[in-house]
Amino acid sequence: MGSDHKAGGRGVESSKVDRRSKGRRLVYIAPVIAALLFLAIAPPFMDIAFISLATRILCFGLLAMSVDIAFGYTGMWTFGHAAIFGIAAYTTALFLIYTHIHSFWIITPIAILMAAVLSAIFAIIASRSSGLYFLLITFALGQLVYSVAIQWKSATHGEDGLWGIPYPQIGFPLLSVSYYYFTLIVVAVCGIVLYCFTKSPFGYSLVCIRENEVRARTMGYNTRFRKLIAFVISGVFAGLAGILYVYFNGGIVPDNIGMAASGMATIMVIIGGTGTLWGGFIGSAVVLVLQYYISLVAPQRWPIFLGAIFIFAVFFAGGGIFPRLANLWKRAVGYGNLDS
Amino acid sequence: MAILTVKNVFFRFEGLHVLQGISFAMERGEKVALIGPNGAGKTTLLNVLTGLIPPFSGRIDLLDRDITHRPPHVRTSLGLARSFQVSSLFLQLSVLENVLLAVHGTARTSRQMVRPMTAYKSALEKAEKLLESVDLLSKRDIACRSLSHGEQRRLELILALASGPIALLLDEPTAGLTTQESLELAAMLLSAANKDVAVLFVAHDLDLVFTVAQRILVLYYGKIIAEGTPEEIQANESVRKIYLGETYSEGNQRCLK
Repeated sequence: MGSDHKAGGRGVESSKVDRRSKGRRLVYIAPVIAALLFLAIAPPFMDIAFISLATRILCFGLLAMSVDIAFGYTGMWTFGHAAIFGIAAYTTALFLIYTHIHSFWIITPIAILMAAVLSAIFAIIASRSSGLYFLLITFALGQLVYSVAIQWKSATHGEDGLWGIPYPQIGFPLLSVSYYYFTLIVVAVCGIVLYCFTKSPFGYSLVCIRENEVRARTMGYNTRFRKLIAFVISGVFAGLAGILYVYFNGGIVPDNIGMAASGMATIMVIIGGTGTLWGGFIGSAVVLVLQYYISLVAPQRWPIFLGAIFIFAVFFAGGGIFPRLANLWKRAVGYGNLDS
Repeated sequence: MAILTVKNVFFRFEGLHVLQGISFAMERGEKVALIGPNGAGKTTLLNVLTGLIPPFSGRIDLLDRDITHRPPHVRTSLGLARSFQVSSLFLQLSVLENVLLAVHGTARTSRQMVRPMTAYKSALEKAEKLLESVDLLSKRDIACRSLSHGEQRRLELILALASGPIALLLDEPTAGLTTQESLELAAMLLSAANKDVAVLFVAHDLDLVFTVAQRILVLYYGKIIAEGTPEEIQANESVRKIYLGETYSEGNQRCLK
């Protein structure tokens, strides 16, 4: 009887913990829902420049989130994601310019497949190394793709890039505002999918691999295979970001897929907070909003400001802006520290 | 029937013969201690057995199945688990998340990329049961880094037990604990692990060794120099000389008597 009582007590305790856990989760995602609502309601009251900037933030936010899966969650320091972003963008542009296939629903899966294949190649080649060496190999492979984009002039038009990409037809025509909403929906769905992924056993196993790969192997995880899968999943979302971007931008140039673009995506993740998923998105918003406004005042000085923002984020927001904001939010609503 | 059989295993590192023809077998449910001075090759032997480093030559069988060239994750799924000398926990994750990760490591998990890790009821029940067995259930939602050293050692054991092993390798499970804490941990281990599990544990604490072990292997510079019951090892003169030195302390004499 005693044990029954004890078991019952544990049951009540367990359900309390579950309720508290659900409450915590709701509180945790409330700002994300608020941000989504703002992005959904704001455009009619804003000018076209805001909508253009917001679309750009959404595209690069998705790229940064995909980088975070590889870099922040799995510990694979990648410098080749811009190339994966780029191959999907170039595939889309090449189809639209050189073929009669213009259907968004046919071109997009092919472009995503190309991104998946390229990321699998990157991962297979780089997976025998880790840390800085992984970064260097992905950097070299990324530069290889960048070189092809520049050298293969008959197809890619070299440094001039491919231009004249119209907004996609998804059953009905899209224009700047409607394309913004389309991008918002796609990125929101991707964000939710990636969030579920990070909370799944597979997602947790990536954290486990990042923290202690030897331990992960002795716990039964095939770490090399999981890293490969994580990199490919990350690449698929980077490719999707590239597709959204090429339609939004109306074209693609090699500079969009080179070392600077990969570095920018990584900086976005670090500023926002590595291993936090939404941090990449916040990093993208911070960098692109500041870039937009600073470029209006001092177009040539932007890199100096970017460096200053990066140093500020590293020194004063250790771990990134998102964990800081999340902790402030949790304290404000009485849920203590994010880490506790 | 032998659970784990090691035949003539050699391992060489930069000209140094770390393991020289190691052979032994462990029966079902047997508790075997591996002792030896620092640098004897104890941890290297565990690393070879778990597949973290390949042997130079020799053969390792788990339940008559050759696992010599199998990677660590396959060995774990076949029933070989281990713990580490230094706690290798995921400090930023909660206690429960650590155990769930260990449970999912060998489980055939469906929809493992989309379903929340805590939504798998059987895994959750197993994890809670394991935590209860070492008195850590009340701390399930606490971040691992907030646990005391003793609690971290207990959790380390649970991570090894979570895969439901048939052979368990423990590398100094009581490192950094007092004798009393060591004996408590040993009692917890023996009650938490299925009695059919064969356990090979490395330990420097001779009290623990002679209390828990049914058989002792003495490793010295890569060779097993003695093997036998605790009584036989206590009576072995070469063990006294090599393991404890020509002159050994009163305390250690007492342990060996």
